[in-house]
Amino acid sequence: MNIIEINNVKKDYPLGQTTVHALRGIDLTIQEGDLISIIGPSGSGKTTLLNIIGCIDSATEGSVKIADKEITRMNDKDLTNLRLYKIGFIFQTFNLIPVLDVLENVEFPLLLMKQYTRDQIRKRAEKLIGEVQLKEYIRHKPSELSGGQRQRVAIARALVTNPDIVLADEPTANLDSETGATILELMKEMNEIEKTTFIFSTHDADVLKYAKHVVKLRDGHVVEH
Amino acid sequence: MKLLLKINEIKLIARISLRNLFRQRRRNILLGIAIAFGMMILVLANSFSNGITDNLFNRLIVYATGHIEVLATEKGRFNTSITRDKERIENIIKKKIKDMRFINESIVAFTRAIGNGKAESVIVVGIDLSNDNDPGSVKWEIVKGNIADFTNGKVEFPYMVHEEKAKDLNIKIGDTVKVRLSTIYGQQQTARLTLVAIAKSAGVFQSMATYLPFHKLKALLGYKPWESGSLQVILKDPKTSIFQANNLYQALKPDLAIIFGELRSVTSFSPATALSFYKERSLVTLLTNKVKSLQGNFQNVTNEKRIAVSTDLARSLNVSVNDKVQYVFKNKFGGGSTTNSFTIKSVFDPKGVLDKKTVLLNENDLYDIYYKKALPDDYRNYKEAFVPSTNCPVYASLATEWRLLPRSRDNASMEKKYSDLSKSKWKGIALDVRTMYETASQVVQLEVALNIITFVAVLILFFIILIGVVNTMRMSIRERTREIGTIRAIGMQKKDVRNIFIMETFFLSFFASLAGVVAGFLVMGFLYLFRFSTASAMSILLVDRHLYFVPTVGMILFDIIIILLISVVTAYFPSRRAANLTAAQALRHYE
Ligand SMILES: Nc1ncnc2c1ncn2[C@@H]1O[C@H](COP(=O)(O)OP(=O)(O)OP(=O)(O)O)[C@@H](O)[C@H]1O
Ligand SMILES: [Mg+2]
Repeated sequence: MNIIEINNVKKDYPLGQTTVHALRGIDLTIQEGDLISIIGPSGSGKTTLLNIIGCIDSATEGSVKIADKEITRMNDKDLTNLRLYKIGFIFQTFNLIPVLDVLENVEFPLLLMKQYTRDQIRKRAEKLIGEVQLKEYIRHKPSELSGGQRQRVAIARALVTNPDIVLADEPTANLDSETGATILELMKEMNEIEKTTFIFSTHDADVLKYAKHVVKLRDGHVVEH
Repeated sequence: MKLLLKINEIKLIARISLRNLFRQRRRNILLGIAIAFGMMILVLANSFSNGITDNLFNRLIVYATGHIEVLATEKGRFNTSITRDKERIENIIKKKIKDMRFINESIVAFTRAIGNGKAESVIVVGIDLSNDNDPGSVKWEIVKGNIADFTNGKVEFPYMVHEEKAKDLNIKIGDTVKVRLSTIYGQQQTARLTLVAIAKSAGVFQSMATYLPFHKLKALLGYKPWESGSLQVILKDPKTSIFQANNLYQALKPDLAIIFGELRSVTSFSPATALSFYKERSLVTLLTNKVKSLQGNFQNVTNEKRIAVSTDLARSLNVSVNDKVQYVFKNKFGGGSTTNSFTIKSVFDPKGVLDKKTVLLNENDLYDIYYKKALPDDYRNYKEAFVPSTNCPVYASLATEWRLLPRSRDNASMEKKYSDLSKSKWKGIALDVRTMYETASQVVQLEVALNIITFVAVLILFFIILIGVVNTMRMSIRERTREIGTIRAIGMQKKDVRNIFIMETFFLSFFASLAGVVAGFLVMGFLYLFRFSTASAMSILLVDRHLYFVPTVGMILFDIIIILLISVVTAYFPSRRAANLTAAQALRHYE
């Protein structure tokens, strides 16, 4: 089943007097449970595409369907809920909430959902923290963790709501190659365990080791699929 | 269940807010100190202003002038006040004034007292310890002597002074103090007072006062029992003084001065209504134009002890011009009757204007016989009494019971009114209704000034908070833009993001204002350690030589709410702007 269907998506950024055409007509469908890597040179539109799929930015033109729902005409409140329930995010700079400890960071999206009791939330968060091997760090603040550990917390946070899609924009760019490899390994593992669709962008040419499919962008076009 | 889940979310937002508050510690502490300081000033200013109000309205003014005062004077002498018919004025006050605590009959004398080799200016106040409505019937804190001796009649003139005065006069319990008092009729007399008690004083104003039993002082000053000094009204709500005084003023508009009595000649007598006329030329002319003098000349009646009688009366008493007659009336108070002799200077035709049995006096004679010995019995008790209607053609010429002075707007216009009147030729009875806002205007202005200071403090505080909050928020939002992007991407709704920032400010102002309240109390406690000299001009602000603060729970809550309101409203707009950032923009934010 197609979890994502993108048709002729264009994205323009106004920049002073001119316009930057970041995406120039993207057509893309992604299957549920896939593990996709988006690659391409700097400025080719990877972040822009991920933002549009993640419903945190809107396309200038074209249609985007997430789980069969057209999102281009949704209001902010519905988009926010869609993100909360269906999408997980992993960022290049980890983006944990600095005042919350590991457990609280992972619990955070569950609390926003207002569906589970404290006990259910605690159990679910602890399970995920276990899966990313951070059990001993449960009460640590982000500032007390290494980059790799932070990114593992971010993975746990992205997966804790059991989303349909996890989007990761260059999740390994801020890590040394060895740690980066373990993170990608973990994502691959999670993709297998949780059957979650993973889409990540990278500069790393070595990703074919981890990705099931690769989408190659250049100048706002898909050049290889 | 739903509520519980919602509460979990609110707790999360509160937790993030609180922790962020403590993360950017230095910046927030600075703002917090500013808010706490402002709050402290606010609490101090409010408590102080409250203290002043309490001191002024409930102690000082109650003693000195009352909230509203009805002052009656004669012959333009404003330092002696004589209410001749206390009962009548009191009844009008009781009928008109709403929410009155009591009426205080003020008997006061300003004089010099001679102690042991020392003389001092004093105010002698008559206090009635047995009357609950007397401001002097408080629980006195006696330093020496015995307050019981004040009332038990063991000494003829028991005298009480405050500590400071006892020292100044160099007197001990049992010593004699000589005072010269001038009666309301202007006679001087010396009284020997015996010091029976020395009281602790609560403020400078109080220590000026010395005390004699009310009835003793009243008699010494020559007041008859039905007379009194000025009547002072103490209200439940002093703020309504002016409004109520204006109402009272309307009700105190005088009636005509009418006496019903008997006119007697050597051979005969007849009931007769006595009216009188003002001596102003235009008013006399009005009268002589309307009322024909058949014998003699009406102008001559303006002299002392002269009278004009109607033709009917002249005929039935068989008298004519230059004959002597007596006018007799029953007294209103104290029983008996009063007789006055007059010489007839005019016999007039009352037809169409006045009653057949009317006599006319000039106003000086009238006020003399009307008020001096005992008041005439109320003419309303007599059916035969002639009461001219307001459309009587000579109504304007006829003298009234008193003249009601126009209300004054402030102290200056009140003083001018009095000085104009004492310079004018008119020597009748004048009644003035005044409030503490005129009489104690300097003192009341002090309260106004304090309120202005408080208001300015609030304004300054407002700006501190405004600038501080906006600035702090702008910095913290800039620093946390990426964080805002993150939580928006994860799925937090706009309004919750906004609330995180608002709550942060809320908590900060809340803790800071609590700290400010505590600091305010500490400062008040600290200031209470000091005793101030009573010599300074500001000493009326002191109670028992301490600065006097009256903080109230309501006021403090109000202040806290004001501060929270200001800061939350101020925080609202930057918070909303932060929440409205699109997640993609916020995540891309770089600095
Ligand atoms: N907010 C913006 N305003 C103007 N231009 C923008 C904006 N965001 C992105 N762009 C432009 O859009 C194009 C695509 O940017 P994007 O960030 O998607 O590239 P990318 O493939 O993620 O690059 P990198 O690998 O360096 O992260 C670039 O040319 C960039 O300059
Ligand atoms: Mg990018």
